[in-house]
Amino acid sequence: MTGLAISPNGAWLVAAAGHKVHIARTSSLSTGFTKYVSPERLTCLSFHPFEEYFATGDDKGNIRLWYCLNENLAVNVRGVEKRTQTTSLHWHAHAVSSITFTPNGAYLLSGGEEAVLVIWQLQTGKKEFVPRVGAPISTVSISRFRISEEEYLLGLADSTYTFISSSSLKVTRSYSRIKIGTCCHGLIDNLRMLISS
Amino acid sequence: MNFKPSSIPLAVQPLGSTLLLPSSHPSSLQMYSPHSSTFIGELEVSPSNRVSRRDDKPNIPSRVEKVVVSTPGKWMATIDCRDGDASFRAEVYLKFWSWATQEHNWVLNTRIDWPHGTHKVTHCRFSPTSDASDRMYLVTTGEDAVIKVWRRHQRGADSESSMFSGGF
Repeated sequence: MTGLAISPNGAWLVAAAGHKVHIARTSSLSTGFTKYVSPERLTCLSFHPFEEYFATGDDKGNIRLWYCLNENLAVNVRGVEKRTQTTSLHWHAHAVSSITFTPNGAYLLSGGEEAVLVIWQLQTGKKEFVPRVGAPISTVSISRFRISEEEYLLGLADSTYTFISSSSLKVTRSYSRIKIGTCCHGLIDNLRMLISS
Repeated sequence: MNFKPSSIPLAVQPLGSTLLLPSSHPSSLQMYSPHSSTFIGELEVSPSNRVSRRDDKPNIPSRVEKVVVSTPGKWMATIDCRDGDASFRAEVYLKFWSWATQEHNWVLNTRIDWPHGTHKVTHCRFSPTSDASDRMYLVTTGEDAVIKVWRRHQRGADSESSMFSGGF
């Protein structure tokens, strides 16, 4: 399972796993989940802060907005894979690792292997970018240290944490304990050899 | 991925008691202080344009293979290379860096292209002399069966090599 969330009004439970989105009413979980299929494997899930819809990211870089949480959802038709209205936002060439909506509900942030933070303006579909953040992005979240200063916090693949100002779209600070590469085998043995020599 | 243990760059920098370790990107090194467990900085040994891979084909960046620091700690030598293929020849660079105390970072002093031709450099070591000495050398051995000695000229630049051929 790559995503689990409850809708802003608390009425829906949504889970993303494999190629499917599973939706259930929180008031009647025993009636089971309705499933929707995604053409590609889903990697992440995020709910809009106050509107009743959610977004998923997939393995091929496509972000999908799902508008299927409405009273017409035939929950008693349990298990049947249904079709629903969706919108696609596609920029990423590789898997989307993380998506999140901004608290004002106007933007969706996404990040992946390209090391670029994409800021989608939901109303117009226009995009803004913060390129070359230093390493592939693993997580994207919002940091509101002070009410007036909103920052986007990126967790990078090399264990660096980078803050980006939401107003200037520039990196404000970056924290690293040590930079981790993806292939570290052999390093520990060499470190022992170095220390003992 | 072909990963021989001997090609991981590791060194101790006595000035500041920091370690030079491979960074998250193969073209860079990171400086780390084990005493305070802090990341000091990153050094881009080989300038690299960090782009994401095209389709599923992995990018092959140039890789820092070796790093050595002189005993007193003011000089550093690095070997970075990229394997060649049908369309381009292998790149091997020997770079000499000097430690700039003010900036707290390494400054590139000399770059030698293909120190042993397109053959890999197997080992390199500084002579255990003081950094101010006139007789400061770096020895490199290569897969071309040659040992080379690199000498520092007093003007600050490393150049000149005396070459020893070996039958091994």
